[in-house]
Amino acid sequence: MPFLKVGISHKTAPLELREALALDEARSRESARELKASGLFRDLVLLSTCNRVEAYAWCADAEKGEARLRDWLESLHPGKAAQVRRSLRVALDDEALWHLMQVAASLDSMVLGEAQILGQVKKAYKEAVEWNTLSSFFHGVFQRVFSAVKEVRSDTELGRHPASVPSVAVSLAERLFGELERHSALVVGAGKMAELCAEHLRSAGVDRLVFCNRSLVKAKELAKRFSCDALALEDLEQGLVNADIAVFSTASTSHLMGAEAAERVMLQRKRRPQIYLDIAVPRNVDPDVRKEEGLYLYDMDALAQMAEEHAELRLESSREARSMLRRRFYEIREWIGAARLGPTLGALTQKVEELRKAEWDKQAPRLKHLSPEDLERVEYLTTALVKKILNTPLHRLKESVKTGHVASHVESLEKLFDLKGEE
Amino acid sequence: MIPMGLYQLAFVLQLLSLALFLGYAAWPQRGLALTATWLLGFAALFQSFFTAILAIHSGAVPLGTAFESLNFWALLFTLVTLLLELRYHVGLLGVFLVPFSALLLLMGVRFEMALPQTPAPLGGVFLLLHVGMPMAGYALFSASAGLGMAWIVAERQLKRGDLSGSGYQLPALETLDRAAWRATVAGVVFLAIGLLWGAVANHDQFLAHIRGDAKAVMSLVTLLFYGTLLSLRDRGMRGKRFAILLLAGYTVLFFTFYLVNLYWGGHPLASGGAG
Repeated sequence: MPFLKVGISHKTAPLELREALALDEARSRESARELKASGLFRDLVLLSTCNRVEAYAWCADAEKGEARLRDWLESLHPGKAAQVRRSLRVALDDEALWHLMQVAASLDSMVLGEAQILGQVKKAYKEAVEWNTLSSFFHGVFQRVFSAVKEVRSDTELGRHPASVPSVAVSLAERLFGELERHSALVVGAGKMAELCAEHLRSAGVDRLVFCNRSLVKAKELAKRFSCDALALEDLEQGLVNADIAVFSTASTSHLMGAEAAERVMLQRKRRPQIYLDIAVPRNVDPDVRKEEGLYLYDMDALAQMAEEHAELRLESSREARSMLRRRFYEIREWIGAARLGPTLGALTQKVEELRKAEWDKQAPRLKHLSPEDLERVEYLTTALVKKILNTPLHRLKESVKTGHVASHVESLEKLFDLKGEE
Repeated sequence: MIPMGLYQLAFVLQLLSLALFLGYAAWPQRGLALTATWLLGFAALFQSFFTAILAIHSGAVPLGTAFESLNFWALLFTLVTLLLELRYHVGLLGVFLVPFSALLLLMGVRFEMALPQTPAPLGGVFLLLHVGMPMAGYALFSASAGLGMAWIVAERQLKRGDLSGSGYQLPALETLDRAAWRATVAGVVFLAIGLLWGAVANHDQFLAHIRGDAKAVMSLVTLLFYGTLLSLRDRGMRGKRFAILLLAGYTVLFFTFYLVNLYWGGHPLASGGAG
């Protein structure tokens, strides 16, 4: 049984196509149900993120399975079927496993090392468990992949370098406060960057979010989207007293926060630490506020420089991460080989035993002249002979698990002994 | 004569552990931090065995001499360090904490050589409450100083925006600050209970002779210092100032403990000179 991956990703398809194919949970469940009902797939996991739509399957017949998955992907947006056909990529066995591992480890991501993808792969796996589209084989594969990725992420620097301005901002806040769940943030401004930062803060767990803007209407619009509160710019100081994290992103040409105002805020906060992330150009915060103890200020230049340095560091760490992941790949491949070989070996042994038994049943009536002891001895001889003949090939097959040739051997065996019907 | 082999072994293991923690700070390979933590664990184990031998040897709670109480302080501090390491899994707190515990063990060697090892003729419960509790408090003050030092380093890195250096392995500033504060609060409580117990149990001598007892005076000064520190924190003093004062407090505590026991006449109120 081959391990198959069919899908599109940011490397092969433009954003519009990825958007068109993106699956929400209901559509994903429906697809999984339909594909499973085709009877071609023993295991199936559907992964849909903003950067990829992929199906991972363990199927009886690679060609039929691939064709079915191609049809399914094209059917997701019939108007773009030709474009889907050009963009989709197929991987089989080792290549499919390696791809899955790289995706989960964020080595195939648009932003190298980003943390969300592992959660998305886990979610896809959990959904497959929930929808009953998995057997013990994929359980084993995915659990091993998750463990390998966890090791890579904890033992390398890959995930430790946030590589975009908003993610650097969130990381700085996390370095100050730890978990952000019980912390509050004030986003000053209502532009794209403010919104993006708010999204990052929310997904990092920030409990209480408030938008503050010159136009209260715009602030309220954003607040409605994020189910949070809004403030007018006149109430900025009061808003800051209650905010542990403040993001400044307005088009104001003068400072919204000066040193004196910051001092007042810090006094009211009883000097509880606070972080200002000034991503506005020109700057919204007077650099002198840095003198306030417990107040940490980062401007756009500092944040952008950190993001740039981190992108380079991620690239460097990705080499180490890839080689570490490769070692785990060989281990998982060996496990897959053993898992796949087991049923084939069982089927082969059973088939040969059935042949022996059938032949014995045919010949036994002609051996009536033999005593029961001799008859037993002859039957034992046939059994031993079959075992002896199978011994070396079975041993070699088990060895092939380590070299990664098990798939081709299994396929040959299945063809030579017509074992497919036995599974 | 106390068999010092296990104690010295614990000291050597602590030094090795410190070297590995420092190695981890320079070259962050998880294996180094894990080995360092294991070594520290073994150091604590050997020191526990040593403490048990001390108890068997003297037939009493091993808190009757300055050396024994110092040994108890160092052991508790090592255990607190291990707990913090297990709690935060950072592999770097050891860099800030193990030097303090190694120093305590080193001071113990000096005490063992220079001071009489005749235990104070006091009951086990009294020793546990009057000596054990303050030593637990000292262990927590030591931990708070280590955490304060870690806070200062982590803050420098945060100000530089260094998210990729070894400091990234340290817990967040607020976490360090909170842990240091909690350790200080608990330390003050333990120390206060210990002093109060001593004062109540010996109330007739306590007021009459306290001025001649450097140990009692310094313990009260320590309690006053840390109590004031907590009060200031309650009024908004946190962050760097709090961390620096924790470090200063510990430095004073360390040297006064050394000076009191070796040069300032120890603890005459306890006839055996117990810590």
